[in-house]
Amino acid sequence: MPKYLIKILLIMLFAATLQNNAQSNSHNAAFTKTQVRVNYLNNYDRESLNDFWSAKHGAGVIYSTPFYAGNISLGVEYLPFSGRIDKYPDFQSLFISLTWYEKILLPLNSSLGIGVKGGSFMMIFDDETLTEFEGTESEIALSPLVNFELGISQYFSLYAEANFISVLTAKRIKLFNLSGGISYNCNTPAWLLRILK
Amino acid sequence: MKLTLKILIFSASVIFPQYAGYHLNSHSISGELIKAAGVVHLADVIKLNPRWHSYSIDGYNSYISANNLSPYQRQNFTVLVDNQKVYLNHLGYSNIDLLPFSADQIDSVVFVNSPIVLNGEFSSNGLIHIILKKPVEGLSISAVQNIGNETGDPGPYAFTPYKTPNVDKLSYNAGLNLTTTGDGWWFSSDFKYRETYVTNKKIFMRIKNLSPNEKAQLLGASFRLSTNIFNGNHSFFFGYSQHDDFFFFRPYGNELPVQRIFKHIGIDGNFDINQEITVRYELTEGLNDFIERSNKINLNFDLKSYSLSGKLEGIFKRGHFKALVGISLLKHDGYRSGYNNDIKFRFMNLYSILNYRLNKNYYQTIGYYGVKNREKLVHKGFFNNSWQIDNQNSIAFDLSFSQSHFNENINYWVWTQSGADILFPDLLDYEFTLNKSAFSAFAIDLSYIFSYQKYKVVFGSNYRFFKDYYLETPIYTYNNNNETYSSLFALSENERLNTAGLYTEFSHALSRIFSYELIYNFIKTLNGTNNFKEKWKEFPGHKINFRININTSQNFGIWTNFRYQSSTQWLEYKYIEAQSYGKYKNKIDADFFIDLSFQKWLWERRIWLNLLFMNILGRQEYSHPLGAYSDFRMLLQINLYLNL
Repeated sequence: MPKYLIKILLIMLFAATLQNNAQSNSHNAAFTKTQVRVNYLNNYDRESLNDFWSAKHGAGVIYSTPFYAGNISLGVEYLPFSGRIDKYPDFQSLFISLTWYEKILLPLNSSLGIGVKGGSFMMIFDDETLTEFEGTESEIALSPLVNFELGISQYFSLYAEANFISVLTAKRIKLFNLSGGISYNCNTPAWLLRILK
Repeated sequence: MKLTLKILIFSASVIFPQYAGYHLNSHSISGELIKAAGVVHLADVIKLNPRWHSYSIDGYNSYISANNLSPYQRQNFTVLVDNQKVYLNHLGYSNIDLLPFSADQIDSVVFVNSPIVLNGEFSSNGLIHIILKKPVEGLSISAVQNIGNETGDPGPYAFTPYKTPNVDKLSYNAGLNLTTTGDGWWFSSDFKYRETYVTNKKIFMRIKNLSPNEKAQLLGASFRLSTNIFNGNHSFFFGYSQHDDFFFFRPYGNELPVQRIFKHIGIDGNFDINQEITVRYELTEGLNDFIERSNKINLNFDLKSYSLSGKLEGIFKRGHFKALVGISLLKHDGYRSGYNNDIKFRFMNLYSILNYRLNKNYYQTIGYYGVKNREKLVHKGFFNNSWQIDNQNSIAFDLSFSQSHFNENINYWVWTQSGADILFPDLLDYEFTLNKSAFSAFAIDLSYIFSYQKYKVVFGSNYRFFKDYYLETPIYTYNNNNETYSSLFALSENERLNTAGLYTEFSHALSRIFSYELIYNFIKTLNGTNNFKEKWKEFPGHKINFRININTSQNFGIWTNFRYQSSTQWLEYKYIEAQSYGKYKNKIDADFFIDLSFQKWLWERRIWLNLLFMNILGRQEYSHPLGAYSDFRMLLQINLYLNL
């Protein structure tokens, strides 16, 4: 039951933030800035998936922009897993996700972000004996996240993020991922702004 | 602001719409709400009207009952598409999803909640009028695609001792619409495609006994042409659907692999003779066909039925007085392989409506509908009152009485009694001794509306009395060896029931971006025969919906639906829990669900995205004892609108 309450509270919080932002006209700034990030990604053990597979190093590309409230990101993260024995086929994961987060501004041109990420966690198995239907699997995945950003120039910033991903398979896959990388920041080009607005 | 108010207004119930020229007890659902709620399968639009009930066994095909007007066993509610009656009912099942257009092409859906005469039809069991979008000027193309996922798949654990079955049940849906307009005419064509796989283990086990595969596929195409000529408007509608599916045949108790064909050709229109007199006509032909699909035991299951109908109405209007007189002829022709003779049912209907204003704020409508079949005439009628007390308060009172011929149901009992034995004498154990006399129903609806600034409150109540009905009273038995069902199928006669219901709605536009509505529906049986009272336990006694709309801008919106429904109980499956060692239950427990959708327009309103999370609490969402359950699921809808 507490899990349900947390979900309901998150919805209410998001709605309240939107209401507040919409009334304060800050939604006029939506989509006006663009941030493109390239991340290095690493997984750390959390639960039983790691008894059967070990994660290798991964990478991600993320597009982020201010939203009507907070910020929104669209990202693709790649993380391969190798089976600990032959019985467990290697697989490559692609997490295609949408993230919403709110920034808290800190000194020294830095900020702390807190938010939620959700999307489709695709798994492509390296086993030629599997049919096309069995060889690819996708599942809904959700994750709370915390990120830290440090501006190093007008256009570039350093970036780090922690994710606690739950892939909602029958037996949940729980992953703790840390990522770090560099961001390129600019005003959103007019053609892109026309699409997003 | 426009968007917020539009969604609020259309999502709220409207008791007195000036719809078809009458004040009707109806409920209108807008296309915006249908999209926001993530309606992919047309029949799911029923879930947006709490006064109507539905259940689904496979998660796609739905069985429907309107506002306390009939048990689930009578699937002959009326369906109109752009004013034309479509004949969907085949063997006692009306599958709205067969209509050959996608949900995104709907402008609005009007549910008529009490029996009246509309477009030459008497809505004894409720009426759904689907109004499709009219083309905008020029050449336009729109497309829709849905991709979805449901939680609970095994993922990589499929290769480990934690292996579980795949539960991915969401369908793949795509639709395309092409429209063009000219001077006084427009043309619209639709194409839709749906593909599903039976992955629910219980349904799969039943199906695999008969079917060599588990794929279902629906293809539909339609076109509409409308023109303003001869001093009136005239519309042509053609639709064709082909559905390779697994049809749950109640007498058999399991799913049969069949190909279902639906075809509709219709033309309707009006001629304005002068400012006061209009003549309206409608000619339609419908084809409903079950074609045998390959099965493992060479089961012979097919029935083709043509429905031909013609209507002619004369309408006289002067000031606040309106009178309508009409006649319609209807013919059903059935063909069954192995039978030499076709089977015909013919009906002649005579009807009349008077609509007038007694004083400035008080309207009355009275209607009569007579149905003649095989030299026997039965009578139906309604009396509607609506009183606008002042700017804020109004009251509506509807009363109706209807007799129905046994043959009007046009279900498997009717076909079987007439010689096309669609039941399986070899497989079924059934008793069939039926007195084919007419049965009757009496309905009263009372509604009060208070509307003040941004607030609206509706209180409604209804009473129904059913007399001389026949009911199916099967008892299903679970076979553990092959995980299928067998049935002892029986009919009972002279069934009667008194039932009543309450409906409450409160809606409020809190600000220009935030609005909400709370809807509560309650039904209860008062007295009647035991079989009839048991049938009403298949409906939830209590339904609560709390919906929130947030629209931060014209291009972004959030819709949330908190929904609760009380338990349902299915007598015909009373032994299955013991027989299946708890795998199945005949009672579906009360439960609470939350749906959440985020809608965003892109590229100057050419692309519309809807990210929908359904049942986010991850409850096991059942609606029928034998059915699949739905878990937390996500759906992404992408709509493209191009005006060239």
